[in-house]
Amino acid sequence: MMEWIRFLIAAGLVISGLVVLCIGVFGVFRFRYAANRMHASAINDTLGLGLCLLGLSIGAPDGMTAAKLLRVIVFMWLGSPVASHLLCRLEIETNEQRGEYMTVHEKTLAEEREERVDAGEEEA
Amino acid sequence: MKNKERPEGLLRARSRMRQFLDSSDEALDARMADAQTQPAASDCPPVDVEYRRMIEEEMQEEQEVAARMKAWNERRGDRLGRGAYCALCVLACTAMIALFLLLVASLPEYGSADHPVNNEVSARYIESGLQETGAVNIVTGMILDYRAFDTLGESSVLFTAAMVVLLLLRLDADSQAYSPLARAIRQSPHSDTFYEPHHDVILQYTARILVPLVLLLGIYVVLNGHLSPGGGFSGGAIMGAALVIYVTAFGFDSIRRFFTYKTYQRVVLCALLTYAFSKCYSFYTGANGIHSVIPLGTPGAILSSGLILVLNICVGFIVTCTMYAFYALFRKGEL
Repeated sequence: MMEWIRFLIAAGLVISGLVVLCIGVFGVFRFRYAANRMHASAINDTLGLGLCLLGLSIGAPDGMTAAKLLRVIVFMWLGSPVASHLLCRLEIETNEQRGEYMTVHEKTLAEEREERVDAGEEEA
Repeated sequence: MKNKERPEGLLRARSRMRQFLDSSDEALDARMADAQTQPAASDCPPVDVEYRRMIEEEMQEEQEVAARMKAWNERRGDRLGRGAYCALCVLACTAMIALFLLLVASLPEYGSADHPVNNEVSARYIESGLQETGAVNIVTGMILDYRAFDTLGESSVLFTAAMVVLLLLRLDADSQAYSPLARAIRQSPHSDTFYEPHHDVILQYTARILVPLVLLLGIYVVLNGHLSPGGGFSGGAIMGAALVIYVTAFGFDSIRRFFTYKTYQRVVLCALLTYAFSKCYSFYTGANGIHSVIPLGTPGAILSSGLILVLNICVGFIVTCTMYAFYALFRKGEL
C-alpha cells in the first residue's frame, strides 16, 4: 500500500514537471524577444526540473540516490539564475532595439561601466 | 543579386575596411600609441568624445545594413514560397522518422541470447575482467587495460586537436607587437570580447561556491574511475568546466597565477608520456601489465587495479587541460 502511494506521488510529480517543461519549450519558441524567452526557459530550469527531480527522488530506491537528485536541484538553482543574469546583461548591452520591449535605466549601466573604468578594473 | 540590389551600407563598410588594410603599419602604430597615451595625459573621462562618435557612426551604418538585409531576405523568402518549404520540411522529417522506426523494428530483440553482440569477447570481459584487471567497473577495465592502446590514441587525438587549434588561433605576445591590426580588431567594440562579463559580482560569488565543489567532484570521478561509473574522460571534462567557470568569473589575469601556457605544455606532455611509457612497458612484457611492481590489490579498494588508476589520472589531466585550452583559445586567442 505504501509503495503504491509513493509511486503515485512520484508519477504525479514527474508528469506535472513534464507538462511544465512542455509549456516552457512552447514559450521559448513562441515568445518574440530574448528576455521573454529567458523567462520561459527559467520556468523549465526551476519549476519543471524541480518537479521532475523531486518526483524521481521520492521514487528513488534508497536515501543516497534521493539525496544525490536533490543536490542536482540545488546546483541547478544555483547555476541557472546566474547564467540567465549574464545572458540578460549581454542582451541589454548589445541589443540596439531593446527599447521596443523593455525599459532600461541607461544611465545606471553607463555609470556602472564608468565606475569600473575609473577603478582601473577595465579598459575603456 | 545584381549590383544595384546590393546594400550601399555594405559597400561603404567594405571600402572602409580596405582603407584600414591599405594604411601602413607605422600610421596604425602611431594611432595606437596616441590612443594609449591620451587618457593618462589628461584628466577627462577615458572614453573621449571622438572615439564615441566614431562608434556611433559605425553602429548606425551597421543598422542600415541590417535593415536592408532583412528587407532583402523577406522578399526572397516570399519568392521561394514559404508554404512549399514547410511542406518539404514536414515530409523530410516524416520520412526520416519512418526510416528510423523501420530500422529499430528490424533490430534483434533486446536481451536475446543469440544477439550478435553476445560473443566470446564480451563474455570474457564480464567473466574474468575483475580478476584480470582488478577494476570493479568493467568499462574502465576494458578501455584502460584490454583496449588501452585505443585510449592512448584518443588522448593523442585530443592533444593533436589542441595543438592545431593553438597553431591556428594563438595570438602570442610577439604577433601582437608587430600586428597592430589584430590588436585594434580585438579592442574594437565589434569584437566578441568587448561585451564579456567584466567583474560581475553575482557571477564571482557563485563561482566562489561552485568552483571548489566542481573541482572536488571531478577529482572524485577521476580517482574512482575503476570503482564506479566515470574515469579520466568524464572527470577531466568536469574539471575543465570548473576552470572555465573560474576564468569567466575572475578573468585571465587571475587564472594565469596558476595556469599558464607553460603549465599546459608541461602537464599535457608529462601525462601523455607517462601513459605511453607505462603502456609500452605493459605491451613489451606481453600485455601482462607490471603486476610485479604495482600489484592489482584488493578489488574495491581505491589503491587497486594496478596501472588503471595511474592511466585514469593521466587521461584526466589531458582532458582538463584540453577543455580549458579550447575555451581560452576560442575566446581570447591565448592561454
